[in-house]
Amino acid sequence: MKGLIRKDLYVLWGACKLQLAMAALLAILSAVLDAKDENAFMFYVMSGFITAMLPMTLMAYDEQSRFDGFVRALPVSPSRVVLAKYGLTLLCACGAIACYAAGRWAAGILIGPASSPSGGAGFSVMLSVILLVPALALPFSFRFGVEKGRFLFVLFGIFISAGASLLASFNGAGLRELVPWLLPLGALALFALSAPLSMRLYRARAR
Amino acid sequence: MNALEITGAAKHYKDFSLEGVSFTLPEGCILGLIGENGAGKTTLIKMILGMLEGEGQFRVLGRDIRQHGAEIRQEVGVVLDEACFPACMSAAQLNGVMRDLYTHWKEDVFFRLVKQLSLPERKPFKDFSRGMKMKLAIAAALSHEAKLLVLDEPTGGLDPIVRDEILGLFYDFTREADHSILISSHIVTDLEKLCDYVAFLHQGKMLFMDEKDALLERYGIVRCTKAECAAFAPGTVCGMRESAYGVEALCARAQLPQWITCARPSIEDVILFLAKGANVV
Repeated sequence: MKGLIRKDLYVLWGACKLQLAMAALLAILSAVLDAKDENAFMFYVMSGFITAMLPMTLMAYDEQSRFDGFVRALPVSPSRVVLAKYGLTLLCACGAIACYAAGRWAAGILIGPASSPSGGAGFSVMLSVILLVPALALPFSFRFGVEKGRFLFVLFGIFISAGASLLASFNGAGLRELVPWLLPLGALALFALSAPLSMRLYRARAR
Repeated sequence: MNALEITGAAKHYKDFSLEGVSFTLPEGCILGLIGENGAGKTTLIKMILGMLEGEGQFRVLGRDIRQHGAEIRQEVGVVLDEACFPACMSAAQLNGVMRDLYTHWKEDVFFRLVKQLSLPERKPFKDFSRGMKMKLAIAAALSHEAKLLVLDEPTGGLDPIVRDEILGLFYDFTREADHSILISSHIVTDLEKLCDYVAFLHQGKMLFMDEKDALLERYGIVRCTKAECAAFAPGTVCGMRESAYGVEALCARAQLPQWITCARPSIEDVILFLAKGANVV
């Protein structure tokens, strides 16, 4: 599995530099705008989307080079092939958190401490998008290929963003405080449930 | 121990079926798998490697591929008809990936082969020619102490010089007594040079699997008239080609009358005649 993640990191660095830079820049920008008490919701969502696209993009590259077929001839079990993509998604999420933290730190030095810690909701939406979109789209991509998975990616993305923005803007007293925690935790739970489904569907593809 | 023991391999698609393929590849031997496009060679190879599920039993290096897939593949070098590495990766990066995947990966062997085959270490894979790509795939397949090489059309589309170089690597590989190769190819002359055994897959069925020399001894090519040919005992003629000058027939040597002279066929002759006549002795 380590080898597959290493391969994905090489491909990310070799073929997805622009996507990586965009996602990082938007995450940093969101953190900076938050620190200035400006509305950064769109930037969070965009950064989340671009990051969430990375595992799908890597699968597309695998299909293009036919590595997706070749990997079955390598000494890795189908479960590990699937888990490698989920592991990479988590690495991407960590990268987004690191960029956000770097943005907050830089804003703290350049602008001064934020008057209100308003970034929580937006950041949690970003994190949720990064986990939730692959959680829903990866099983389909493992079964039917990236082309069909990508269609679902867009479809799920629209629903998730709309739902997340609704939740984030909800003014109910208790819920508003819980959203920054509930959203990513829910996304993480779905992400964890999605992995065994992907494994099952990936195995079915070999039949 | 047998490198491969395949029993009753079958796979059914809507428009194609691979049916009841059984064969054994003894350790230390090279088996050439021949067949027309769509005969089922790649399907069979994928099933042997556990890449595709199907009916039958597949024992590779003495173990069942379904139960010990990943473990067996540690000892199997695979080259498919295309080198399937990501376009942006270099040979040096491929070494890093393979090192993490294979427990017995030998960096020194890999880089020695890369150097021997004049491959660049840092150039992205997308800038490689087809020959270079296949050479890199073969270098990777030979760098983890594999005991069995499974090669699906590794020399297809390559020029004779590169093909010869690659065949040389396979020869070197089989110097070890416990090293075996299963190779499929359309280029029958390559297989004739390399193989100990030849298997012929035709429309999803295995027409024969035999030792190459025994196969060439068993058949002879007779040039005669159609009437002479018709006078042979039933079952003598396995395949026939008619022209304005007479008949050229692939015959079972053992059943030919003593006075008939026949020429030694090539593997290609045997395959071509049998594919049309499909009368295996």
